[in-house]
Amino acid sequence: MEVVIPDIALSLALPEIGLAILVCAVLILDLFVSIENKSRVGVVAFVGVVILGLIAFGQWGEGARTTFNDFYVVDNLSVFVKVCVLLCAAISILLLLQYAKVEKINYGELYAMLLFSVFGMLVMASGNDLITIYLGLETMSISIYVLVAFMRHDPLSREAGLKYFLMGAFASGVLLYGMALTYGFTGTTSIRGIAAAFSGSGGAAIAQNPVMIFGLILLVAGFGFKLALSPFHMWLPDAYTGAPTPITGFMSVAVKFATVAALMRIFFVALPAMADRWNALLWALTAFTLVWGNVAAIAQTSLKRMLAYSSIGHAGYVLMGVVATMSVVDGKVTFTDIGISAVAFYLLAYLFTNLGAFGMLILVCRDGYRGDNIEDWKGIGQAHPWAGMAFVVFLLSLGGIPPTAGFVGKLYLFAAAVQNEYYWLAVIGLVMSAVSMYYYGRIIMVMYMENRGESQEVMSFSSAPSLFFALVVLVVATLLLGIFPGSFLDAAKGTVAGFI
Amino acid sequence: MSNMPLLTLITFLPAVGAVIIMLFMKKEQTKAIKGFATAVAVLDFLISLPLWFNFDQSEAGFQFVEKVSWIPTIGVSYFVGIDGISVLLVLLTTLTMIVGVVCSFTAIEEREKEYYVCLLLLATGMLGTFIALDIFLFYVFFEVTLVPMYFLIGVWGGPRKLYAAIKFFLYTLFGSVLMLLGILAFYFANLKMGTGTLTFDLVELYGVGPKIPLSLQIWIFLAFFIGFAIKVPMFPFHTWLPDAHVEAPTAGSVILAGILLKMGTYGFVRFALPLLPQASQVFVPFMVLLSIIGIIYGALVAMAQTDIKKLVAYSSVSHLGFVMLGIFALNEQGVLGGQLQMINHGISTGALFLLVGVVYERRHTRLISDYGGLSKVVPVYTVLFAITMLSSIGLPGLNGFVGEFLILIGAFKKSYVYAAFAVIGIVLGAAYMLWLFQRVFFGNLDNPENEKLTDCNAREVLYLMPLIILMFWIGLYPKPFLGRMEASVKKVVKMVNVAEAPQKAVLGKMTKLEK
Repeated sequence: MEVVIPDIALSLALPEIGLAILVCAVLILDLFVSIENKSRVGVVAFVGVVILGLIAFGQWGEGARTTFNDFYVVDNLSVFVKVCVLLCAAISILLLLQYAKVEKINYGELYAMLLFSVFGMLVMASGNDLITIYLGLETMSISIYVLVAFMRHDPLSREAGLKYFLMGAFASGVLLYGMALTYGFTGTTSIRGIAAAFSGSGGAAIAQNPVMIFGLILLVAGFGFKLALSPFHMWLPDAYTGAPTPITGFMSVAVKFATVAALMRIFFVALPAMADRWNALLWALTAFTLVWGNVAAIAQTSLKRMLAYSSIGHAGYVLMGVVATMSVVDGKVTFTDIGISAVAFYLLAYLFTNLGAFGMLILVCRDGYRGDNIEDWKGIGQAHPWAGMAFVVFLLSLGGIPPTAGFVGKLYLFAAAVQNEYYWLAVIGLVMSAVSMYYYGRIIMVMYMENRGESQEVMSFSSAPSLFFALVVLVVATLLLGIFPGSFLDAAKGTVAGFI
Repeated sequence: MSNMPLLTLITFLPAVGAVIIMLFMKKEQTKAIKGFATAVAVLDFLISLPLWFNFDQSEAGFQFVEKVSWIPTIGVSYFVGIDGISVLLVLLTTLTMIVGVVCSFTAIEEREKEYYVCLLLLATGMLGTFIALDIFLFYVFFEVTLVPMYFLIGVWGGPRKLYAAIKFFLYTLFGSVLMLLGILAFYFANLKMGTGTLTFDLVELYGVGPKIPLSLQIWIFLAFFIGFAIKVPMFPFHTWLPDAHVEAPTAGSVILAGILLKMGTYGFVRFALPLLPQASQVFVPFMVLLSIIGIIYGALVAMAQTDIKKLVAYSSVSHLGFVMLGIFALNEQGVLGGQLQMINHGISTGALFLLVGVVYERRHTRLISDYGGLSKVVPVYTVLFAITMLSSIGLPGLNGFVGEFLILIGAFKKSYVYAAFAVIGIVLGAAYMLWLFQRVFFGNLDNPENEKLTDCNAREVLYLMPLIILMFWIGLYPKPFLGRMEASVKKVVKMVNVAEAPQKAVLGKMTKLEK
């Protein structure tokens, strides 16, 4: 038997290889650093991630290239996602440096686990085969279960980790079952191979087969769990509230990036033949998620929990772009660029905005005080005008008010929805963004329009340079994307090249 | 001179001033902050004066135009300019800003620094809204104004400020997001049926309207309608207005009534009519009906108020009903009258709110029943109030008359029924205003606290004076004002009447087809 050794271009996987080396370096370094100085490990991780981000950035714009026998693809979408995930990781590490000290979880493993999860995300972004995607997904998920439960001394964190683990494991199973059924019908796990099986003879029959449809539903449900779309979102508020705050910020952004990239690759590239079905399912999930996430957020009294619900709503917005990518002209399904680029831009805007919002929460953390009740923020606008203003910028951006990143992001999404005639979805999204300003506006109200009670504990803001630096970058980026979004929009548009 | 980006300067000067206050002034230096804010407002007014003097009355198109590409990927440019429809609104805004700053000197006693920052940022938002000729840019400014106003009401407002602030914010935001949907629908309709390019450029989009099928136009018009009608506010979307007005500080009320509400009426004239001509014609009966309900309902409710500020707020609903009636007469007189009445309402209602603020500062009550017989203690105040009230009623010789007269001509030309109902509103307007005047200024001075009331001081007379002068000027010699608006109004009327109104039969057929 002849063995064909596939042509393997290792250079394409440079960010992943580099990251693997970085994780090992971090783990080894951890052995030699005393417990008081663990932040140094974080700094090394930060520098490494920034360098890897630049390496990944260097792969931009060279078209789609596959390697590892078509298991792996590097195209603009995957590069975009990788750069953003690495950026998100870098900022999260900056946020972690101070927080880890305060919460006494400053161990080298913290940074190592974070990097492991990033590794999984990079693999997901480039996965060109159901197996690769699943492996990436599991690497990401398992690392994040650990991260969520990292505050061992805090029962809430342990509970969050356990809940997330049980639900996440179940969701992975559901997803895997969906993949298995797809494999059963098409005889391949390759993304392109599946697409070929559907477009070949007998493909139409497969697309109509009820068991295949069941498999599709499982795929949608599995991704629904991972992205916390309603009604699969039940784990999210507890997991997000219990997790260490920088991790909450990290997973609310980075997990979305990687999962949406994988979802788009599977649905757009492998399963366009079933587009009408998955599109209808996703439409319903999107509408439900938008409404549920935003309405439930109104009732929250904990700031962190409110941001958790709001991130459900934002997942709905991201998915709206995915749904709106599909356009039906004369009964023929096509995928339009605007939806994908809107998703990419929105996620980028969300990265800065949401990390910023969680960053504000980290800013007030000190030993034994977390300040995560909305009431705790009474009168902060007067006492700490600059911090208050930064928070206002993030909240306005989350609500989609100009001139912030969130506004341009939402505008682009709605533009996609209107262009491809998803008017009702656009109406739901728009109305819900007005609703969301109720609870975001309430924080502004508490900060500026209510006076601090005399019995309330004094809130002090950390002056750690890493936090300060991260928040300045985030505020500037949030405003920059809102006022001069041109080149970022071009980049988001570029993600489509070579993808579909 | 022509190369100077005058409009940009006018628009962003207040924002620059706000940033300077924010960065370089300490919150204890209240005198310096007030002085600086006043200087910025006055300077802004002065540099806006060339818009009045150098304005070419015969030109119907846009003047003082500046255009820079902003976000080419989606066809957005920084495109500003003014024509007859916006020139007076820009000037009114810069003038109102001076008044707004000066009238706050003693009324606002806490957190002055943030207050003047908000006020100046608000000015930039409003000016930008009136000069933007790119729909995207317009929308950005339109939304940006919400934030400082939210703070003005919520931080420096009355007892129910939190409720009023969030209601104002959400109500108008709800309207504007739906308007955004309309804007996007138009944007893509233009791509498919119009110029075929991705652009938000208003000049390019004018004229695309008739190419869009009526059924789509109607949907887009409805989206625009909700956005602008809430801002105006038209009946039945007016419920946020009395709350916002009553709770807002005096300057907030003046700016709200004088300028912010005009963003709605301006939006109809600038966008809804010329972009969607056929739909605008289809909606005439509906819009007129709502306007007339607003006129009469606003007046009746105003009559029943016990709070002076609330009374003035409801009178705004009635007056803006007139403006909308004029605009949707869709003829020259009507639109011209509506335009002038926008300015008039800004002047006289602004002045009324200022006057209410003057006594409120002294007595800390706005209940009509707490006053009575004031004419005996505060003669100057009484005269100023009388002039303003008469201007608001529309007495010949004062500004309100000219506007209402033109609107009635316009409405009459459309249908005498419209005019007949509108006249009822004028009568009711006289009734509630005169009754208010009678209860506050005449009768016995039976409340001992009113005896110690001091008359207007020099500063108060000074900031009211420009408004009083304008009332007489527009009332006696409106030509410079009407002359500046005429050419552009004619152009809008021509654009909206470019296509014959679709016959009812056609409409009936269409709805059947859609079914």
